[in-house]
Amino acid sequence: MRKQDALQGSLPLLVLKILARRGPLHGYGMTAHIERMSDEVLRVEEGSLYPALHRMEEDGWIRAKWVTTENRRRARVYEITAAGRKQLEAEEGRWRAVTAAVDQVLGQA
Amino acid sequence: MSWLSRLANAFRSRRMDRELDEELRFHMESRKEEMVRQGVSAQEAERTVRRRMGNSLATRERSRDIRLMPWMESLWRDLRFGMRVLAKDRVVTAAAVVSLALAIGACTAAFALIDAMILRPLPVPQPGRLFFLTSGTEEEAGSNKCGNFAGRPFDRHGRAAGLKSRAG
Repeated sequence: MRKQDALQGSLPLLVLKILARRGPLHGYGMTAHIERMSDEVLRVEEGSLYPALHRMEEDGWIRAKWVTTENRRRARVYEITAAGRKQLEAEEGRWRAVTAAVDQVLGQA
Repeated sequence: MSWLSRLANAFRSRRMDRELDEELRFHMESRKEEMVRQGVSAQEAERTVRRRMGNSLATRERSRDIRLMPWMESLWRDLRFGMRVLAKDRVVTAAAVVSLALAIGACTAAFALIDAMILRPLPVPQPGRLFFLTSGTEEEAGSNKCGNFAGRPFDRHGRAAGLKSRAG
């Protein structure tokens, strides 16, 4: 389960980014995207994805609605809000600063 | 936090549970289909998905807690705010408490009286068969001046009124 650990704090950031770039998606679509785009390095566990999604929904970063998919199944689709975009910007900046700092330390040590 | 989750269970909405279930089911189905499309056998896909979902009940519980927490936190904040305001103005609080106590007491007393006098049946086996017996003129009877009835005159009155004597 080491792959999951690597993702822990960054899951909301990834979700916001994907929603901002790809538009509305359901939970399964997000896991598929994250896994494909990270070349299967990042694996999203359902057990952490859905609680995270619902927390973000409570925080007002994303908005959910039920839609019917092409094969006539009901799916809960999430969409980023204006507050979510603001949060994404802040989080992304913070993430870049932290990783740059870690890189720097690794390079000098 | 255990009393909080117990409170949440008491108020949990079935709709919320159903929606969480449906969302997770959709996820499982989608993944299964994807795996089958990639050439995995349906059984194998089913097994893998089940393993991946792990304890979906636990996921549901966590998601539900997240949705209920804000509601309970705001309830808790409201309660604390209420207590603080009450504590701040003790005179008003005392006046409110005393008038509530008096009003509740008065209502209870009035109800107890009505209950005993009107609502409850008389403490005899057949209250419908009780009669009020008087002697004398109709005027005297109307004024509730009832004389004493000894056994014998009572029997006589009873027979006259067509009642069976119980003194027997």
